[in-house]
Amino acid sequence: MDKKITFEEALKKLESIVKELESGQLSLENSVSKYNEGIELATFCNLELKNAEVIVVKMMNQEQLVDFQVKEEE
Amino acid sequence: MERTYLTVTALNRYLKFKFDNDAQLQSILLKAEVSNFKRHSRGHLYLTLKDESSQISAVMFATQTKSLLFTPKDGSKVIIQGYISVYEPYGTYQVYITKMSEDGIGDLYQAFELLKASLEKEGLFSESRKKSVPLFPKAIGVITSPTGAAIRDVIQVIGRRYPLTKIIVYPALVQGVDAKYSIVNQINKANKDMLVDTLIVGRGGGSIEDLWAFNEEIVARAIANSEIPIISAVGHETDFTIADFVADLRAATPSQAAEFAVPDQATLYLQIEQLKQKATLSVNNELVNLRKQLNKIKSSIVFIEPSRLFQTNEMKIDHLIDRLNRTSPKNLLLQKEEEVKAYRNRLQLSFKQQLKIRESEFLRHIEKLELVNPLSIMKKGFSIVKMQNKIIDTVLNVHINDEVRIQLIDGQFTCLVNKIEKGES
Repeated sequence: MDKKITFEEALKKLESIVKELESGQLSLENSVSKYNEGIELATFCNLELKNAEVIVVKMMNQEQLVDFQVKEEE
Repeated sequence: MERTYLTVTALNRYLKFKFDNDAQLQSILLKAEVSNFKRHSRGHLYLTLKDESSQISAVMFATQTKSLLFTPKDGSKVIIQGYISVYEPYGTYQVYITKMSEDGIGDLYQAFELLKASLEKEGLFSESRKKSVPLFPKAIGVITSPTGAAIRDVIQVIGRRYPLTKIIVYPALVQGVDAKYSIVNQINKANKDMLVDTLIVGRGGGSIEDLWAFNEEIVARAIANSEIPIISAVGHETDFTIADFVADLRAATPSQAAEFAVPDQATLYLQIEQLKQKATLSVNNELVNLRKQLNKIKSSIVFIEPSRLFQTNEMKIDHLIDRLNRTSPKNLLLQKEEEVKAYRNRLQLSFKQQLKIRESEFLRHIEKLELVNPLSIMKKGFSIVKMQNKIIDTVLNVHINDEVRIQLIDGQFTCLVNKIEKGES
């Protein structure tokens, strides 16, 4: 699978594959290959969510992106 | 007995104790005019508050000045919240200001309503201008104070719901007289950078003065002109600002803005699982269907009794022959012959009828003729009188001694006239 695909694209593709499968318009060979692709996409989506455990937060400081830490208000 | 003398310090401490324990003095509202205004290098403000006949000194510490919406100067009419206490080193009492705004805050509300009405008329609040916020943002810009509660809440909520995205904080002043410029600058900067596809603009709760920057026209216009969709998140549920009306989406609080900005991963896991199940189910169904179809085909009559295959065709051939027969020229000829026969019959029939009619007419005429036949009249005893073969029908034509012939039905005789009488017989 293409490594550059985003979570959103993968989820959308998965949705359209399920729709195609449910339409019952595919040949048997096509169904099986689409099904395999769908399962791969689902696995990819799950992994993407699992791997992104901590959100990246930056701050735009003048023209520079710097790491940002939450500070309690004084 | 020796008298007890107080020290000055003790006296002032006692006075301070008295002031600080007086509920009335600990929370005062004051209306006054500013004079002797001084801003200390460390940010504290020193001033005198006065009216026509009296005055009192006052101080506002730098930490409190952040909420100021205006720059006080000598002559400013102000309203103040604060308390009275004693400054021990000098033995003076003064007003410690916690909040100060220009007198005539009512005018601010009026300005708010006016601006709201004029922007609404201009169409800045219309639904058709509003951009939709992306469902799966790649990066979210947050324009707010980097030290406030708002940014902390936003990071916490987005981090929990959808850590796949990124957050870029665009630090801005969110209260005070310069806040509006700061917010506008950061909205414009984010649109120039184009690093994010959703913007959250806002701050946590506060007084109406604290939130005032979000009621400024330049902030409203910057939000309206933003290419990037903006979620407004100002104050608490009950706070409505101009920014909320212009924004593409209004959230009641910064936390809610964060919820609007991203999907929830718990829901996403569930959605992915459901899609997987649907895919499996539909492929399974398809296999079951195909198997059924195969079984149906295998048990089809043509496999069990192949002759059926031809039977249909046999019948088809019969039908075709029938149709062919119906349209052959022989049939057409027979049909035409029948037609001719029918015409002939009709012709004969009508001729006979005509004949009958003529015959009966003829008989009727004969009967009429019979009625006027002279012979049949003579049978009843009438006779014909003739002279020189002319029929005599008047006495004027006969004279005495004329010879007339009388004709009867069975013969004739001759007479001599010996008398003539005129008149009716």
